[in-house]
This record gives sequence, structure tokens and C-alpha cells, in this order.
Amino acid sequence: MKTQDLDDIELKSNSLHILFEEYKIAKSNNNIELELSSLMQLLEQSFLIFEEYLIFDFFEYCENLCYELNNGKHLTRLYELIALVYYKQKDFDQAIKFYKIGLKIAIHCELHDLACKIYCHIARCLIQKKQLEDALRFAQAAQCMIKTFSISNQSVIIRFHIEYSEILYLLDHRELSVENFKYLENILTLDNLFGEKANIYWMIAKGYSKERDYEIEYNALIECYNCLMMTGHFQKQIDVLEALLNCPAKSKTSAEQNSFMNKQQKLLTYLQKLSNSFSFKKLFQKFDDFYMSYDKIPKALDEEAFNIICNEWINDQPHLFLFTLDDLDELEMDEIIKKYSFVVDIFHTISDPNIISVCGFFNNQLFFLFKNTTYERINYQLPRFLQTVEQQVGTITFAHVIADDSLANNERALYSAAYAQHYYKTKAKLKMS
Amino acid sequence: MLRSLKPLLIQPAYKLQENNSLFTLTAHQYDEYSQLEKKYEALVLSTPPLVQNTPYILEFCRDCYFKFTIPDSDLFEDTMQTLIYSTRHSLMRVIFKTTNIKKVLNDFGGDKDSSFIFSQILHKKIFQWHSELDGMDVLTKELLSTISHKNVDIRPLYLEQYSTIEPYPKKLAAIQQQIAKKYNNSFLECPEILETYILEAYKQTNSFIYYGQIVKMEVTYEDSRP
Repeated sequence: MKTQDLDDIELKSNSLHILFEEYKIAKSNNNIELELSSLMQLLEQSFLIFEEYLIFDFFEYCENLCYELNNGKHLTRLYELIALVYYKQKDFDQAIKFYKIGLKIAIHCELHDLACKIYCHIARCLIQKKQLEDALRFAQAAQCMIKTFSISNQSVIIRFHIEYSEILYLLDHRELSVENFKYLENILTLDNLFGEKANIYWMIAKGYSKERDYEIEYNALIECYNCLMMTGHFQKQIDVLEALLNCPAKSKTSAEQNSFMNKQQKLLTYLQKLSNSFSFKKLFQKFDDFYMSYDKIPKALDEEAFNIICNEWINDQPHLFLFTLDDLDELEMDEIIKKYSFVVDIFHTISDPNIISVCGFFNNQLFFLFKNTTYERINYQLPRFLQTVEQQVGTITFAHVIADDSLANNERALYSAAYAQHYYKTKAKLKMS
Repeated sequence: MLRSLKPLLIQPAYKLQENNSLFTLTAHQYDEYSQLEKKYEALVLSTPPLVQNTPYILEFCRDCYFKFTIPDSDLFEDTMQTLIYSTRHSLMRVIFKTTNIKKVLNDFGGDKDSSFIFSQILHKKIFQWHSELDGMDVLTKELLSTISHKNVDIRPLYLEQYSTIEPYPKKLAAIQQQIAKKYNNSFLECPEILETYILEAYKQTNSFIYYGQIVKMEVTYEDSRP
């Protein structure tokens, strides 16, 4: 078995970060065509790594973009992606529903390759639902389409043969299944099409597992894993490693078993870390979207922009506020966004509209940066604000720092001072409770 | 050609109206058709959404299916329906004048599955022929705007209580008459085009049935095992 170090995963996940940044840039430049293509790439890549991670957040937005740009290809792929996620979650009815919408679009736009692929996907869902006769009809429709439109896309043809072979096998037409499988055997000798080859090996492994021929199953799984490493489909790699761990082949040594376990653990841990870092990015994006639609308040800031603003304002003695919701750990992301958004809303309602303020989300804390605000004024407004927040949002910890001489010309020091204050207040609260 | 996706957002899919065949049929016969629609969902899904912009073609195909599967001796035309749906009626007459349809009737007549598959494939072909006719798109749009919404049932317009406003919906009938004339004239001028489309539908049906039959035979074999 080929070895894989985490550099490869790092590389793949970095590409995800890069795609995220590309998407943000395209969005800020109002280039919707680039925005759609980068968003689709981001969703594709995130599907390979996390399977469902970003699709639910961006689905509606991406759908609207596709309609706006009249891009049937991306729209079909979007429906296919969300259906794949539902399939993975074993919600086959929902998956079929989205596949059918995708199929309608593909047929409307005469994207025969994609339509044919979706027919195969629906057949797969129906296999899982044990509706084999219906699955067969969908596979046959795909076959008819391949012939009618002379589809030459190998990926589509392979997908069809995989589903068709499995249906025939399950319907007990062994001879026909073997005959159909011959085409797939030829594919395995090729030096490319790793994703398709992984699917074929996975199917072989499943078949031999049912026949209780565990040695062949084991070898097929190893080949499948090797192919998946070339595609970077991390979630599928985890599934294959799980199958390898459970495979009772006699030739499997304990060292190999340990190695599978380590690899799976490493992948899981790394994906968890990656997922955490993306949660934060996603939160930022939501904040951005929220402020984009809310013209009263300036846009939210990332770290770099935060530093620039601080640099510009440091000489005007800005006031920096930091807020954290006390029950942050127990809340869902959507709930946090909702609550923070509410805090921002209240803060801006009670403060003087003539005062220029900047707010953003930084290191899990909500911050406000005020310029030209007298200490007395803030001192007068703050209790009112805190009271309203306590009533409507829940308990929060806050810190307030004025950039005096000791903190002047150093935005980091300003933030650190606020952070330190915030930290000790939280500790004190914990002690009291 | 890049097709606009917007119509898919605006227009809901056309639903076949209940009991509005040109023939007098029982609920059971309508039901049988619906079951076949479910059985051959894969084929039904392959119908391009825009094809459904001319709903009477969709209903025409259902009537074709009935014509194929029910013996002539048991099939009676509903005179009132032929008057209301005159476009569909004239289309039916034109199609059944062709020589190729007789070949199809010979091969598939009586077999429900094959007839259904043929009617679904014919649907797309007729739409193609229909949209290639000169000025037909204008007439179709006019017809749909007269009905106000394509999913609406036009039968009540011919009921007695409406006759107090207007003896019959003149504008609607006039457009239907124009479309019917267009069908007749284009068939008389150049019958080969329609014949070719029907032949294509016949061939495609055969190929669809062929892929289905590979396993169908095996299923029979499996069923006959002790």
C-alpha cells in the first residue's frame, strides 16, 4: 500500500482555503461570473474533503447565481452535489428529489452527459431502497441515452456499467452481470480515471464480501484506497479504511491493522481541525453577508483590515470594546450569529448615528471600535446598552479600553489590553459561579 | 444553444386533466395510464420541460395510448370533447392518416407497455414537428394567453351557464381552428416530414424496448424456475 503523509492533506486543505479567499475576492469585486465559478469549485473541493460541509450554507445563494447567469451546467452540478450529500446521509428520498430537479435542468439545457449520469445516480438510490426493478429501468434509460446521443464520456459510461452490473447481480442475473463487468475490468488496466477505478474496486470488494471471499475483498479494498489517494476524496478514504479494519482476511497482519487504524485516526483528527478552522471562516462569511445587507453598519473586518483600521485611528484615541456571549460553547453557530447580530443591532441603535464606528468579529469576540467618542458619553450609554442586551440576548462579558498614551501607535497593544481585561473578567465570573 | 433557465422557475409543470380524453373511458383506464407513468418514470422524466408548454400535445399522447391499447370496437369518441379540444382532435386525425402509424399499430397495438413507451417518445417528436411549423409559436402563445393559464381546464367555458355571456368562447375556438388548419395543410403539403418523425419515434421505441427486453427475458426465465 502506498504511504500518505499529512502534507498531501495539508496541500488539499490549503487549496480549499485559497478557493475560499478567491471566492471572497470575486464577491467583493462584484464579478458574479467569477464568483459563481469559484464558489462551485469551493463546493466541489469541500465535498471531496468534508462531503457535506459547505453546501448547505451556500446552496440557495449559489442556486440564485446560477439562475441569474443562466448557467445550467453549474445548476445541474449543484443539485447533483446536494443530492450526493443526502445520499451520503442515507436520505434517499430527498436525494432522488434533488436528482430529479437536476435531471430536469440537464434535459432542458441538453446536457446529455450529465443527464445520463443523474439517471445512474437515481438508479443507485433505488438500489439502496431495494427497488431493483425501478433501478433497472433507470439504468436502462441511461443505457438508451448513451446509445441515442452517442455519449463518449468514459466517466459516465463507467458509472452506468457499475450500476447496471450491480443491479443485474442483485436481480440474480449473474451471467449478464459478469458479461457487463468485462468492460469495467478493462478500465482497471488504465493509468488514469482513478476516481472511477476506486468505485469499481469498491464494488468488487462489496461483491466478494457478500460471497465471503475476504482475501479478494481485502486486495480490492487496498487497490481502492490507493486510487482514492490519487483523487483526494478524504471521506471515502475514511470509509475504505473502516472497511479494511473490519475485513477478516487471513493475510492481514496486525502491523497492517495498526497502520489502518493510525491512518484513519490521523485523517479524522486532521479533518476535525480543518473543520474547526472552517467553522470560523464560515462564521466570518455569514457576518460579512449580514453586514452587506445592512447598510447602516460598516462591513465586518478580518484580522488584516482590523489592523489597518486600528493603525489609522490609533492617534484619535479610539475606544475598543470586546464582547463574548457567556454560553458560547453551548450554542449552535447559527444561534451565535443571530445573537451577535442582535447585539450589534442594539449597540448601533443606542449609539449616536453621527459617530463613525466599526464592528467585526475577531477571535470569537465581537468588537466595536469607536472614534471621537467621549468617555463620559460611552459611560452614560454603556449601562443602558448592557441592560438591553442582558434582557434580550443573555449574559455577556465585555471589555472596554481607551487608547491612551501608553497604548498609542500600537494596535496590537490596544487589542491585547482589551483581551486581557476580557480574560480576567471571564475568570472572575467563573470563580463567582 | 444556450437555453434560458427562467421558464423553469416561472412555469409549473403541466398536469394532465382528469377525464378529458377524446374518448369515452372508465376511471380504471385512466388509472392504468397513471400507473404506467409511475412505472416508466425514467422515460417520463426525459421529456424536456419546454415540451410541456403545449399541453394538448401531452394529452394527445395519452389519447394515442388509448387508441393503441383499446380495440376500435370498444373505443367511442366523445362528441362534446372533440368539439372542445378541436386542436387535439385534428392532430389525432392527421397522425392517424400517416402510413407509418399503421406499422406502429401493427407492432405495438394491444401491448400496453410498448404503446406507452411509443406515446412518450412520439410526444417529443410531435413537439419537434409542431414547433417547426411556420407561425405556430405565435399561435400557441396566443392560445395559452387566451386560456390565461395553461393548467386551466377549458371545459367549463362550453357549459350552458357560460352561454349567457357568449354562446361559445369564440376567440379560443378561432385560434384552435387556425392551428387545426395549419396541421392539415402542412401534412397535405409535405407528409414526409411527419412520416419521418413517426418512424424515428418507432425506432427509438424499439431500441428502448430492446434494452428492457434483455432482462425481461431473464425475469421470465427466473419466474419459471421451480
